[in-house]
Parts: sequence; structure tokens; C-alpha cells
Amino acid sequence: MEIVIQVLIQVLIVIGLSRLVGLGFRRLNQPLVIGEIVAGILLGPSLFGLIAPDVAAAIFPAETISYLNVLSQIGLIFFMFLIGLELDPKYMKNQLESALLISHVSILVPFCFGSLLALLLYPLLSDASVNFTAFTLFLGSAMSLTAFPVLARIITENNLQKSRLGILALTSAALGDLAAWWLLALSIAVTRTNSMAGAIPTIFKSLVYIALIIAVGRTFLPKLSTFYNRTGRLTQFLLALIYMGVVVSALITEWIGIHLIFGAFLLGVVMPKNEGLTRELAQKTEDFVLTFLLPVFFAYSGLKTEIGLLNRPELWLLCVLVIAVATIGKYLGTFGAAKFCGISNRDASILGWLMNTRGLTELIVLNIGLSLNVISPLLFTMLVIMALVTTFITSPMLAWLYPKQPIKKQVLKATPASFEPKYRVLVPIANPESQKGLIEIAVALAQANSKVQQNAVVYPLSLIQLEEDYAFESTPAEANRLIAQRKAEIDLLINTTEIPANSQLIQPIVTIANDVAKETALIAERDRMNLIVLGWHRPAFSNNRLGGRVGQILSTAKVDVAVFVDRQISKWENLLVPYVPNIHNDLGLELALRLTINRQECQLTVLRVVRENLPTEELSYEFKNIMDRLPASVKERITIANIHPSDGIAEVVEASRCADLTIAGASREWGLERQTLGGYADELAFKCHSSLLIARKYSQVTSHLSSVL
Amino acid sequence: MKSFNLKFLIFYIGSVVLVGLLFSSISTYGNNYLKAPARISGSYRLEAPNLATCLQSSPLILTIGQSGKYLSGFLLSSEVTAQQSRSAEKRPTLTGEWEEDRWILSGLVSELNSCPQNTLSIELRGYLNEKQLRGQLNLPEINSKAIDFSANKL
Repeated sequence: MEIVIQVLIQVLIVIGLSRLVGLGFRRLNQPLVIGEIVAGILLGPSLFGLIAPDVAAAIFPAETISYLNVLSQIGLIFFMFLIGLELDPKYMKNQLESALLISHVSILVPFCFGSLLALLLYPLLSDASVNFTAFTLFLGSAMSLTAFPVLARIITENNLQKSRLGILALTSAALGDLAAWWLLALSIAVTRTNSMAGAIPTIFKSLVYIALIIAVGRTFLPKLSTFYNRTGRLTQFLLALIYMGVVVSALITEWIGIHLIFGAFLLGVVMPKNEGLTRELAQKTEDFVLTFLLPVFFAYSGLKTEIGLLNRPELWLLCVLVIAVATIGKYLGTFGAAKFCGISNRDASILGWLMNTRGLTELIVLNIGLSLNVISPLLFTMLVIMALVTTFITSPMLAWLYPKQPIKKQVLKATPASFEPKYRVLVPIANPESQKGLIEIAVALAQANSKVQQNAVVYPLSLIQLEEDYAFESTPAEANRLIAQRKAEIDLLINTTEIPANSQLIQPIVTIANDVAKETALIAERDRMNLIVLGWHRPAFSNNRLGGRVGQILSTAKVDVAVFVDRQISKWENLLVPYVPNIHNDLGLELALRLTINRQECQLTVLRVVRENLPTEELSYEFKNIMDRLPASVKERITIANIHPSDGIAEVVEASRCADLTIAGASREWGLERQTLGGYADELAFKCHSSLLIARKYSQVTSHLSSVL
Repeated sequence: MKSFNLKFLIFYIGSVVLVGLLFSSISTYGNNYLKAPARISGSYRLEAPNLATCLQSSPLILTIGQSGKYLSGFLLSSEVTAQQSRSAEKRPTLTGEWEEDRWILSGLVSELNSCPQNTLSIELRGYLNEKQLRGQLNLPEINSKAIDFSANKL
């Protein structure tokens, strides 16, 4: 088979598996990068090569590995350019003094620990051809790294980017990143020349090149920004020039004797931080690099990771020691420096764990070390495991030390302490342009259109789901811009609705989420919402209209849910409730009564199913009680009619011709089953002539009427 | 603010100097007193005149992987297919280590198409003399005595 065909098949497998495993880890609230690293390891001798060596050898023959290496190196060069590009100097301005101290001490302490560990590991895991100083420098560098892109993603995902802690962590990691890359450059220079003294010319040339590129950055590169502002877009010609610059810079640093990646990184750092140019350049570059080339880098690393080499208990003990030294060194360094800067124990501890995120950056360093033979395959494997473990523990430790507060406290404008709403409606908004009806129905459910104060609040919830771990949109500054943009769209939506002016009635929540459905269910539960009102949509890959995220929220939310099918009818004067006694229909009736009470112009018709040969179906006992408690002015607007079960849906559909809004429980009778609202879900939703609200009851104890009766 | 700056500066410079001193001490000690095992990794053509006839039908290639003192490897006939060779690389059948100035590797040797048994257990012990390995190998299923061998790096 031709090599190009073999390499393409490899890339196909690599991209597919890395996405699959990455998604699996996303579901565990872990960064995508962990899944991608694990996918690479699975493809290598640690699993695939172990269980099916013949197949693994046929798919990944040795003669093709060098081609994978070329692809992964190109990916790495452009990835490093992206890291430099997104390293905005504004991340380095906040709390600079503390951040500078924390970043450098958090490198120095694990570096010392790593150097001491080298005394033990060098005779065991290295060979005589490796210079001890180079070995120690590499091990120290590997221990002291923090992966800025992964850390930035974790911070953004936890909505900490505007908090003091988040800003300090970002600034420290950004400064630490710069320091750690130069530590690595020094390690490479020493390794290549085999002595500290021999590395001095390389260091000198590197400094000259840094000065040169900064000069170019200050004089020539701002013209790129001017050109971009003039044209308003990044032309292919300009893009070609920039990419050529990346390659030239990478070649120069390789020629100097450090590594290709530093040139690309340096050019990224000195690029003008024009917001539009940076965004467009990052978006154009990252799609191919992150989805195609970077997984190849992970696979290439995975092919060299041999967990099978850890074939003795003593080697596993050494591996545990490596993990412990890396974790403790980084934690103690950060914690100590943070305490010195006057930061509280809890925040210092959180910083300690955050700075332990090593992820992809560690893998880059390790691959360089392995390619230079300064670290052995066994030590490489131990350090890959260390990178995985230290990145893996960051999210759970953060969640443990910094439990999420109710979203109201985090993102909403301050409300008077005495204001404690009695009724809360959460309205997930996916597309602010088309969900005006959804907001209006939620407001109608929450608040009377008279001037009676009911202390009800509607929370329009717009969650921004970030796609890639290292994508430009995951950077804190860009995430803040996306939040502000979405907030403006939501405000515009609210302003277009006919909602009584009431500053406390509607309180939008816009925030970042890892998984929209899961986060919605979590916010509803944590913030004690009484009801979620969702819009419906047809999922892209399913015929189930109540599938996709709506289905996920219906299945997982521990709160009553109503799904709104909007027929663009803005008045809700005639309400229709088909009724068979069960909990979901009870909820439907409750919501209909709430609307009837809130809106004096509402007329409610309850279509009660009467079965033959069985006692006449009644409203449930609880509802008879509620009906008894209704004021006469409401009772007189309610009509109860009977229908026969033989063709219940048809009768309801016919009755809906005269209704503005039909409210049905998620029950079989209406073709709306509770579990998925799936198989029959379309039936009533599709045929109903009026707008439709499908109610799914979760809590048996929640009352939607107590706050209005 | 000024006192904080001074405190900060002292702490910062103190940390850097301390780490510099520690690193140079460790580096000096390591370079002078620590000894790592010699580099042995690579492929070697094995020569042993007293080997069983079935093992002499084609040259044997010993491939050694090294991570410091820990060794792994495989022994294959040079006539095996490229596919068999790649499979062996994915799953080495020999493990061992450096002990002082001598090395030891033991495990299985497979794909022996000319021998009655396709797989044999084997133990190799020896030392490294520049680019040549010398030592003895044991094949308990074929020979009761250890056999001298030498192997030159390919």
C-alpha cells in the first residue's frame, strides 16, 4: 500500500478516536486534552500494540511514523504560534507583583524538587550518553510547567475569568509560561552542546533573536494591524505572509540551536494584539490545526508511550514518586508564594491545584526530551502519566475547594437582601432572535398583569458552550466578549416583549457552560427554580422533536418542566387543558390555573376524558381542593367538558382550533410520553392548532398555585 | 507599598539565588559522582558457533531497548517477515537490566520456523565492549550448557 494511503488511514483513525475519547472525558467534566492524550496512548503499544500487535504493526508500520512526525511537528509549530498569539499582554498586567512572584516561585520550587529527584532517577532511568546537567534541567522543566491554554479553559469554563482568583491564576500562568519556555530552551541548548558552557553561544544568539523579533514586532508588524483595519478582513495574501513568517521564525530558532517551536511562539507573542486581526487569524488557523494536526501529535506521542515498560512494582513506585514530587512541588511553590502575597488559605490552595494543570504543554516538552534522547522511554512514560494525573485532578479539586455558588449570586446584579422570590421560572434561551414567545409565556406564568406584587422572577438563561479546549473562543477575553454580546442580544429580546416595566421581574443569566443541558438542570436545582420553560426544536440528527438538549433537560432536570411549542399567537385568552388524572396533567392544569388567575381576560376549558364502563373520571382529589379554594371570579371563567377516550387526540386537536394555548401533560393519552416524550411526541405537538405547552412533572410537592392563591 | 516592594524583591532574588546555588551543587555532585549505565540500545547480529543447528539456519538479530538500567528486547531470525519484525517491536519478549557492568536479558524467543518448538525460553548475560556484546546464553529446552556468543552492532 502506498505510504500516503497508509498515513491517511492512520489520520482517519487518530481523529475519530481522539474525538470519541475526548467526548467521553468531556462528559466526566475533564478537559478534552486528557481524552486526546489517552486516545493517543490507546493507539500505541500500551493497548492496541499489546492486544493486537500484528494489526497495530499493520496499521502503524515503522516506515510511516516519520510522516506522522512531520505532520505533528507542523501542527505543533502552528499550535505554538497560536499560544503566543493568544498570550495577550493584558493577562500580565493584573496584580502583576503577586502574579510575578507566584509564577516564578511556582516554577522554582518544583524545579528544585525535580533536580533533587534527578539524583535518584539518573542512575536508574538514564544512560551514560546523557549529560547529568541536561537531564536535571529537563526533569526540572517537566516538573515546573503549567499548561496556560488548558488552565485558561478550566478557568473560563468555571466562570472564574473575572474573579480575583481567576485573574491571578491566569496572570501567573501566562508569566510562568514565558519563564518555563525559556527554561526549556536552556535545557535544549545544554542538551545539544552537552554542557552549560557550551550552551552560552546558543543563549547569546537566542537573546539577539528575541531582541530582533521584538524590534520587528514594534516596527513592521503594526503595519499589519493598519492594513487589516483598512481592509476589514484577513486576506489570503496577508495570511500567507504571516504563515511564512511563522515558518521562517521557527527555522531561525532551530538554526540557533533551541527548537522550531520557539520561533513560532515568539512570532505569536509579538504579533499586534488587534482584536479583530487576532480573532480572525486564530479562527482561520486553529480549525485545521486543532482538529487535524494536533490529534496526530497526540497519536505520535501515544505511539511512543509504553506503559508496558512499567513492568515491575519498583517502577510503579518510581512513577508514583514522580507524580508526587511534581504535584507537591508545584502545589507548595504556588501555595507558599500566594500566602506570602497575603492570599487566603483556600484561594492559595485553589491556585496550587490550578497551577498543577500540565496537559498538552508537558507533552510538548516530553516529546522534545525524548527526541533528543535526554529522557528515556520509561521516564517519558512516567512523565506522560504524571501529566495526565496532574491535569485530571485539577477539575475535581477545583470543584471541591470552590463549589459552585447559586448562579444568582455569581452573575446577577445585586438585588435587595429582603427580596426573596416565591416563584422562579428558568427560561433557557438558545436563540435570542426567535424566542420572544417563550419569554412572554414565562412572564405570563410568573406574574399577574395586574399591579399585584407576587415576588416572582423569570430568569432567561443563555449558556455559551465552548467547543475546543484551546480554541480562541475559550480564551478568557474572548469568552467575556461572547458573554457581553449574548447579554446584549437577550436585553434586546426582553425589550421587544410587552412586559411590564419591573426591574426585578426578569433577571437574565448569561454564562459559560461545558454541557448546556447538564448545566441547565444543575442551575435549576441549585437555584431552587419552580419551573423550567423550554422552547422546542427538532434535533439535527433525530426525528424526535423533543429529543436533543430539550430531551436531555426533560430527562435530567429535577424540577418541573414545560416545553413550549410556539404558534406565534401572542394573546392567551382561551386556554385549553385536556385532562386525565396523572401527575403531568395535574401540572398542566396547575399551570393553566396559574395563567387564569394571573390574567383576568383568560378563559379556561378543561376537557375531561370520560371512559365507558368506568366511573366518571374526576379531577384528582388535590385539584378538587384547589378548585374549591379558587375565588369566584376565577371559577366563573372555567368550563369543564367531557370527551371520550376513543379518539382523545383528535378531539383535543379539534378543540384547539378555538384555543390560543393548549396545555397538556406529558402523558400517553396525548401522544406525549414522559420518558423521552419521544416515540409519539410529534402527535399532538404537530397537529395542535394553538400554541402548546407540554408539562412534565418532577416534584410531587411543588405547588405552582400557592404563591398566587 | 515601598516596604512591600522591598520584601517582595528580597524574597524574589533570594529564591532565585537559592535555586541557582542548589542547582549548581546538584549538578556538580551528579556530574562527578553519579554514574548511569552505558548505552546499549540498538540491534546486534548474534554469533554463537555452538548453537543448535536449527538456530543457525539464518542469522539471529538481537534488538535491545533501553531505559537507563532497565532493558527490553527481542531476538528474531533475520529471515522473519517485516510484519513479524514490526509486531515484535510492539511487544518485546525479553526483559532485563544492567547489574554493575554486566547486563542480563531473559524471556522468550519466538518465530523459530526451523526449530521443532516455535517458541523457546532464553537467558542472555554479558557485557558491553565498545560496540560489541559478549557473553553467554542459555536455551534450557535445547542445550543443557550455556553457550558463548558475541554480537556486533548493526
